[in-house]
Amino acid sequence: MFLLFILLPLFSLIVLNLPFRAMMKKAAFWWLLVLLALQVYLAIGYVFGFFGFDLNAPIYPLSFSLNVDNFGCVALLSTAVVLGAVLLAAKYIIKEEEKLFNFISLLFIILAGSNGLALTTDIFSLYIFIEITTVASFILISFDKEKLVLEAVFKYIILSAVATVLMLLSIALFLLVSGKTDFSAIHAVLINSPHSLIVMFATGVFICALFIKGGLMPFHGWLPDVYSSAPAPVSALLAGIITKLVGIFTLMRLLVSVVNFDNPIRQVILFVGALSVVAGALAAAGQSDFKRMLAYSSISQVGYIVLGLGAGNALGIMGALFHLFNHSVFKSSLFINSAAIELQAGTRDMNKLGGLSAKMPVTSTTCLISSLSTAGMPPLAGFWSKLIIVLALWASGNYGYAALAVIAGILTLAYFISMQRRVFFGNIKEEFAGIKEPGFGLLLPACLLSAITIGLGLVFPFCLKLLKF
Amino acid sequence: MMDKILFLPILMPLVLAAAIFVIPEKLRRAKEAMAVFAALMNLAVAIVLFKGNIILSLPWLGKGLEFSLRLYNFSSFIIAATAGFGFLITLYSIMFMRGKEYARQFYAYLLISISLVNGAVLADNLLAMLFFWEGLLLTVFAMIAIGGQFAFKAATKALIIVGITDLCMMAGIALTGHLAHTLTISKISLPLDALGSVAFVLLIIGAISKAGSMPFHSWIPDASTEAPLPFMAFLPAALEKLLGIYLLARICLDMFKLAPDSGMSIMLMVIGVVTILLAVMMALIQKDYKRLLSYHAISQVGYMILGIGTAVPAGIAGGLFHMINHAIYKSGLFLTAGAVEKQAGSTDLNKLGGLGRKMPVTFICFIICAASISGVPPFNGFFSKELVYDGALERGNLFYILAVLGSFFTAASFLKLGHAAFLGKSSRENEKVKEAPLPMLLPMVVIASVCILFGVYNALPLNGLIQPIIGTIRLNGHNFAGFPPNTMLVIITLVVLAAALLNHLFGAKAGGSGIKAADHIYHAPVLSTIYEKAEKRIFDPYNIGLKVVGIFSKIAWRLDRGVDWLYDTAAPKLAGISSRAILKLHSGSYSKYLVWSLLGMLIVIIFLTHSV
Amino acid sequence: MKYESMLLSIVFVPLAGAFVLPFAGFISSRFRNFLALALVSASFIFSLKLLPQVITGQPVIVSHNFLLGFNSAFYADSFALFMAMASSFISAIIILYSFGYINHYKNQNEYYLMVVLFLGAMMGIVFSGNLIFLYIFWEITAITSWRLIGFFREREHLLKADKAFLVTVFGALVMLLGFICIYQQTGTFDLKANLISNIAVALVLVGIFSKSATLPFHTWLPDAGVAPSPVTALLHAAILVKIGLYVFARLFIAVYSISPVWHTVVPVIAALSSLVCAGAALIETDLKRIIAYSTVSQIGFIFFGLAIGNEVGIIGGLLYILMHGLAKAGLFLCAGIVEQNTKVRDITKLGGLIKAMPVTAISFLLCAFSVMGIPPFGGFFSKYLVFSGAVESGQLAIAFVFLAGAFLTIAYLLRVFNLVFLGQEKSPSQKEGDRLMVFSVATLAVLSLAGGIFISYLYNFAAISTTQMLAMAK
Repeated sequence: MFLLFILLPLFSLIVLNLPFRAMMKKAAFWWLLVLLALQVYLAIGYVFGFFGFDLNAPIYPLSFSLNVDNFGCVALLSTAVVLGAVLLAAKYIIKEEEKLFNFISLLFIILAGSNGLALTTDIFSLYIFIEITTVASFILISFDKEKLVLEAVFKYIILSAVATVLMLLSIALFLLVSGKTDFSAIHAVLINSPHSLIVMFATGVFICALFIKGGLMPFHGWLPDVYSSAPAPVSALLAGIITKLVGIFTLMRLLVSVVNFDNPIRQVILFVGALSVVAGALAAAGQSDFKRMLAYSSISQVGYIVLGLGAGNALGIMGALFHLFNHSVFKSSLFINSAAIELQAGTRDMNKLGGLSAKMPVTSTTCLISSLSTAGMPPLAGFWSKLIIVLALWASGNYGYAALAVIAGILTLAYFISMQRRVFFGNIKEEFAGIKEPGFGLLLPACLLSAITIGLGLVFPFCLKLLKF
Repeated sequence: MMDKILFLPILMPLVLAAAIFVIPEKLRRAKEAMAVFAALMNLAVAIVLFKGNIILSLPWLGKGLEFSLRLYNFSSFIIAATAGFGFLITLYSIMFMRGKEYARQFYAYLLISISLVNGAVLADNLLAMLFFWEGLLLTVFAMIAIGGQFAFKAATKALIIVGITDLCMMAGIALTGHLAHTLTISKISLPLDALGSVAFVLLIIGAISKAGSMPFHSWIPDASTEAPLPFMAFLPAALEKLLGIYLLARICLDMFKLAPDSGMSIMLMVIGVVTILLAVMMALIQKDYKRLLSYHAISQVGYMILGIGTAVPAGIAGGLFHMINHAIYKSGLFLTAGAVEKQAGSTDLNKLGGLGRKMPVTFICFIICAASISGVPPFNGFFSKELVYDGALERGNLFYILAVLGSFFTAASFLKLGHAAFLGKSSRENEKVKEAPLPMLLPMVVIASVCILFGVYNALPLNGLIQPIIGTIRLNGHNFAGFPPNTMLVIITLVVLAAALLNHLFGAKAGGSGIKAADHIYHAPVLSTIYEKAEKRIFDPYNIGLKVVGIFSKIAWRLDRGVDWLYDTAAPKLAGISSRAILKLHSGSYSKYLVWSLLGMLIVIIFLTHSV
Repeated sequence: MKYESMLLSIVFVPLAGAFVLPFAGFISSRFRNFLALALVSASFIFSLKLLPQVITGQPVIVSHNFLLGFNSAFYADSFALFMAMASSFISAIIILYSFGYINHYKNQNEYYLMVVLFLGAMMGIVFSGNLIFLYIFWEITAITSWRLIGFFREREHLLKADKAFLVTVFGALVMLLGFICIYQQTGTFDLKANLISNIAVALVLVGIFSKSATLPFHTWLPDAGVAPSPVTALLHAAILVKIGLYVFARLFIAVYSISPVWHTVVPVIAALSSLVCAGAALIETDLKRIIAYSTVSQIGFIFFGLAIGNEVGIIGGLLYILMHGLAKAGLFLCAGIVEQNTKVRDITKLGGLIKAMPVTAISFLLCAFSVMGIPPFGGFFSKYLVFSGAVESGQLAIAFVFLAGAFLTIAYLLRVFNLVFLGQEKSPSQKEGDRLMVFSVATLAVLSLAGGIFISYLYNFAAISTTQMLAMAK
């Protein structure tokens, strides 16, 4: 039944692009919006067990089976939320009808690809869905066809091509060793397979490929250029969900249900995570371009998710998942704010901006809430996910990483406050005196995302028992 | 119900002081009348309570600390003396403070001081005593500060010095309370062991600084020229001496049982003798009437501390007797200074001269008080000094010789003062100077007659007041009333006084005028260098303290800026360097990124496969 | 049930009400001002109502079982009430003062929102029953104090505000690590009495020292002097620094038992901090920075009182918190009046203001006397009790170091008073401050005096809180 998650977007893509497009153009926006709302409802419904029937009933004609579990639901939920926000923002930013329609149809592909990724149970379809999503993101990034963007996309294509090759290599090796493609089957074989050298090699290669896709520190080269030069809604989409889904979510899927997740792999994961947390934060502190700073900040926050994963115990994985959702919410809100500033003030250079909070109160408040939540300040959702990750690290015995994770919070806070000081907080500069709030279209997504952050922050302690995993 | 009466001496002056603040200005003379009425009421209460024996105790701060007051012969005697002086000074200051800008505040603070002293004297609990004792800090600061626009410097000096010593006393009280497990003074009796003597020294610091003895004296001369004169006549001259020596006596007699041969008594006697000599040497060279008197106030305290320090019945009796005598003639001398200042307009001895003929009554009162301070028989000063000499002699000749030397200089300086101010030719400005008005003369005459009374008929104060305080066991049979038995001491004193007269005549003839009488001592070879330094306040402990605090605070300031540097420059620069280092790696060429990723992968693979 | 809802309303009335204030501001500034005052005094009145129940010894507990190892949400005993009443009362006076002070400047809505939120968070901390809630409210105060310090929006002020925010949050994060340590050792985040290791104590102490500005982390407090003076009064006297002291007392006296080595380590740090800052106060020339240094120095005293561990010392510490709060708020508000009228902050350029502003000058002097610990003001008793506690516990050497600190206190406060109010008039034709501001300053001075005279009631309240705290720790 949940096959629909994949078929419905593809089917609607085809229908929308049939010859008599003129009439379809206006409907496309609302069509996608309804689809996303349905997905949110289903994802939340599944987690809290609203429905009687089991979504997992296989549909016989197709050979490969899809399976929904809590992992998948979180991914579905965050995809839907981010896509919704990006859709609303894009409607406001992209003025021409024609370009908006193309943008929306590309979003359909992204939706189909990421849903597939969230639900797949076998390694080969995992690869297919990763490719669908990344290729669609290539086109999205080069949407405006400027020179700077093309050069960034070129880097992204080269590096993700390398990652894809590595992935194929490791999948081949897994097939060689286990003979099957299904996660649980491979897992059963790998647990006690004799030739552990090949298995370890394959896992190592697979993990590095996912690191490149996820943009973690030593492998992150492409990320800052792509995020800062991509058009505003696209960078929100990328930072919000695609990189994390493609990179980190698959890593989580791989480690939890495919490979036996023992100590050496944990050390690698922890080290890479810690490196990206610290180096990402330090790099972000040195930036003067708003979007580039947000790019480095998302590397740092993804590092936190990986750290949570590296803890290895159930609490750590829950924390990582929760932080993945949180981060997708407040990072896309931050990118939407940066889009608003870029539209209104015309520049992204923070040193030129100043004191915008007087004239743009809503944007500055949402930006403040999201940045405080990223830094892990208590009443907001970011605090809880970071707390769980640190608790997990502490419980799993690696005190050093836990201390590092907590103290790195101060670095995050440092660059966010310096951003606040330079952009929003001080006295307004005379050339921006005339500036005013961006349109309702751009404010709505930002407010929605901030509302989610605050709501989750206040409600979280009470609803803790419901997240069964 | 009877014991609630003890609140009267504390609360009544306070209420009347508040009334003075409230009285409207346009009622002419209203505040003066209220002030005199209040002083009179306080005197009446003091007389009613005289020789009473009441104890009051209320719960105050938990189990150990009750608010307890105790009226017995010693405290009633001090309250009576305070009330007496309070009344005389208020009467005197009606004329003196007329037309002065801050008269209203002066009267109010005067009454508040009386109530605080009453409270401190009555208190039987060390904390309650400290509560009233330190309260005096405020009134002393306020009364000096209202003396003039720049009087606050002297007021600050007074507050800092007395404040610091009161804090030492607070520490002493905390220690005593800990050692004796109670703070009720009548129940405390501690040996002078290691911790006991630390507590003893801390309490002594508080007592002698209030009395104004040597190491903590330097605010009194500065205050004398700045503060309104009745304040000087009332607090530093009389009240603070009474209060300070009262506490000193209670510490040595009741709480710590000072034994004659103990180290502490030697310490006290040394402080006494040093105070006598150094202060009187400074007094000798003063050119201002009030500063000269203030230095004498400091040196006379030396006699009292020496007396009580000897821990010998004669010495203690002498010390206590000298306490009351000094209060009498010192305030009398200050009142004469006030009369001279009011009539002649200045207290600078160079400008004064030949006032004797124009102000006969003031001159006579000056002569009586000066004679009694110098220890000339038959005045009261002579008898109390003889007792102190007897006690000092008993404990060691050196102390006795230095004490007598002190009275030589006292006599010399008062001869110089009398000659310069009242005798000699009168200069042009004070041609038309006439006698001070009656309300100023009356207190002077009363004080002078009490000097004579306590001198000639000294059995009254000794038997009536002082000996019952010391108690029969300590006196072991001595009765010090009447003429001092040790005639040899009397002869030496007379010889010393005669020598002082000769020295004055020689100095006056050599110097040409009264004021130059002491110059030959001033320019003596060794003394002149010490005098220069003393004039430039080098030896003043307050200035030494300020220098030390200055150095310490500079070090603290640099330390604080060092810690601040960590946050303001070190942390941001460190973050900046590291972030620039990372950003340098992002050169933008994808080949470099590719190399980084492959290198990373290589390390991961090696690490994983190696660990298998 | 009535008491539980009252306890919740003490915390959540200001917290929730704060967000109503900006909208009230659109209606009329006067309505918003009085609403703010009402919210703050509401929490004072509620805690007053709780007093009879709590004073008899049964604490009011609100509990709800959250997962993740903590279930008691809020816990009110007489010690918590003592702190709550002290802070809310002083903040009410400060808000009354800021009616006159703030109406000269823009973005007042944000100011009142943040002040009331600040107090709500303080109430949250005082009554929180578990470490996580404690941490949450602790960080909310950090956020609000960041916005308040940066109120004037000049670039140089924002740098100071960021510095304060970063230092306090750094301390808080280290403290969070300490809390996690405690969680691992005791198995729960609840405040339940048991022994905790020295590492956990050290980590938590870093947080406490950063929040209540003790030596290595103290420099943000004088820098925060750039904020409007009611804010500095709030920070220094009424709330912010009291939080660190409260958490120290709650964790290391009331709940957890720690190794006695801390009874000498904390006083040594406190002594160092109080001496260094007393020395620095003698050199500094900016009026508010001097008073800030004096706050750091007096906090050293309070830590000394609390850290000694015997009952007299703790009672002295508690009374010191109250008396210092009153007097220090008075000093800051007077500094605010002087600064607003003369527009000059450098004390060497001020002088002779007593003729122009007699009431402000007298209130400043009275509050200064209370800080110096001169009777008949409240400061005297608290200083004496701390000393007698120190002597009783045998720490004579450190007691004498603090005695030197007390000497310096007299010196620098008198220096400020003389340079600002006495001496030669430097800035012509100054007039007295706004009527409301002078009234609130005068009330603080009179309260310091009343604190001294009616000390026995306050002493009993502090004594009951201490006995309850020590009983809880057994």
